[in-house]
Amino acid sequence: MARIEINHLTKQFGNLTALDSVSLKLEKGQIVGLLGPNGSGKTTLIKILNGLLQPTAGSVTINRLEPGIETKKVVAYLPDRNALPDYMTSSQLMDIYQDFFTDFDRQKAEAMVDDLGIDRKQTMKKMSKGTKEKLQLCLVMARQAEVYLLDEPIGGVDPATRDYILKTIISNYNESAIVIISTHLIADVESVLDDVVFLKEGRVILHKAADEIREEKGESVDKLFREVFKC
Amino acid sequence: MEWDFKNGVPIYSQIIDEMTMRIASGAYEPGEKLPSVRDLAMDAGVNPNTMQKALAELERRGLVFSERTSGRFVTKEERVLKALHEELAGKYFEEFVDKLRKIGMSGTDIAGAVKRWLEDIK
Amino acid sequence: MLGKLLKYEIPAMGRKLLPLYAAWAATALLLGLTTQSAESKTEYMVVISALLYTAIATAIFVMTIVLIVQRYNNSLLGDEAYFNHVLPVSVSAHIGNKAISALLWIFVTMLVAVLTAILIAIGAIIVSGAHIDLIEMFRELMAIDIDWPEHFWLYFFEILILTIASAVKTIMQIYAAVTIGHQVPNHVGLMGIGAYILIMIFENTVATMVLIPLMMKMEYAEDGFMDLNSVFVPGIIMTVLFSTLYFFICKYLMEKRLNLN
Repeated sequence: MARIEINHLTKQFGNLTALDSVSLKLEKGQIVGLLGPNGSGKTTLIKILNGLLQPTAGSVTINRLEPGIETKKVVAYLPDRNALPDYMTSSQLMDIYQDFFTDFDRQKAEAMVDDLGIDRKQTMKKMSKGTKEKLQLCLVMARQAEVYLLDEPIGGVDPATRDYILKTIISNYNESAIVIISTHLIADVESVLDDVVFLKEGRVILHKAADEIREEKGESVDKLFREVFKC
Repeated sequence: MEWDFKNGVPIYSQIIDEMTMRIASGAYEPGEKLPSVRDLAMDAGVNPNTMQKALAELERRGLVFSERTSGRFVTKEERVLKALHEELAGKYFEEFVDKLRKIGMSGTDIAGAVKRWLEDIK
Repeated sequence: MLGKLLKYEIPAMGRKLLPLYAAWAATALLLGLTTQSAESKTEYMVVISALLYTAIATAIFVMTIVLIVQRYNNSLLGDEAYFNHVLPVSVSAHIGNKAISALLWIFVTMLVAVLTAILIAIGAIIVSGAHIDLIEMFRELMAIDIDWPEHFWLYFFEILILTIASAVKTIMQIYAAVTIGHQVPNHVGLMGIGAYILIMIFENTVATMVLIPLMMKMEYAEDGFMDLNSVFVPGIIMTVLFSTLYFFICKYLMEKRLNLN
């Protein structure tokens, strides 16, 4: 039973306000798009949900708990960079995941890795950027988590892989989990989203169902995004 | 089977239209078991909730029924399928006639033209 | 959890050090084997071996310190931090993990140093052709009746504990300096070095202020040996306190002021 409550969350870095009194309630069983241009506060919000950053003001709770060891057990994070030790192989990384996350499904991970043609014995150092990203995705999606935080999961990969990633997200769908996809590549992702949150300069300027937007505005979410965030 | 979504129209309605079409055309045969919501969603590249909503609507319209443990099936009821065909046909005729009227053809012109077209196709 | 972290951390450091240890052992043996050449025209061989040995020893010393900094910095404050800090593990466990592994490998390095000394000796013995029965030599050594001064073992243990505590403290100083360094994202290196210097100054000042009065008191005791205790024990306590202080600096900064790039 996942539930994320963000209450008047503010984060400041010196004079820069990255998040300005953001309030959101996200319920389980949803795939939510966190959309906004670079610098809009998406990554800051995700880091706070992860416990990688502390709020300046306001609060964040996951299942009524503040980010900490208990929430980390049920939150799966896909960062927008390679965060895994370079010298390890896929097999070894799966060992680590298995050791630290009780919700990790080893067989599922191995199946996905094989599907994507990743050599289990090859070290990450020797992998291409795209392969590294695919591997990270496999590890994260093989967890039966309650919250998935995917930061730019499809940036920097080829279209075929993009499809595979989106299909994996769909097939991994679980009614008691929340999936948050943070991205600026909206067109590819919008058909997968339940709800959409537009973040601009640290503020939530829209929180609506994707289909509602299409119904009301008669255009895709991508198009609306371009209008709202016109330079 | 391919799914092709347009922008600007709720995906939910597009799924309903597509599924209706597939049932009407026999791509999904009467009584056939449909893939699971998850599989359909994966195939279409859409959110499972959206797919679920669409299927629920198809159920409400009687085109599809679900058996609690076995899944969802296309209706076998002939009158439902017949009504569907008539409804779709009616819609297409309306569009068709409307367009031809717009370019100035009368009812009689249309009827004659249709006859000739169909003979040519044979 | 700490055990699981160590399971991965210890081999991670070892990967870099083990090959160097092997090379060190090889040069030690070489050095031992070439000692005979000192007597003849080929004395350059001993010189080269000695140079090689010293070079690798230095490399290992430097590498150990570099590794200690790197393992901490990269895993907990660099890119890998995006992975490590989302593990359901406390910050204390992370820091402890790095420190224990660092301590372990420092210990192993010292052990290997002793081993290389033995290898040099063995090499020299082999080449000299002398038939020395090592076991007999060892027995004779053990049989020597040394008049151990009173409290010798007590002091021995105190020195041992002090050495270990100092190693831990040194590791913690490094960690604290690095963590403080990251508070200034654009000048991490500079800030880190600056922090390290400040920590040294701070520590030496406090230590001097506490220990000098104690050493003064020592002069007025009757039995000279007895009073080393009054320096060792406070020394150990202070070292432990400093280590704890640095640990909490790391813990606080990492929990509340973590700002990964």
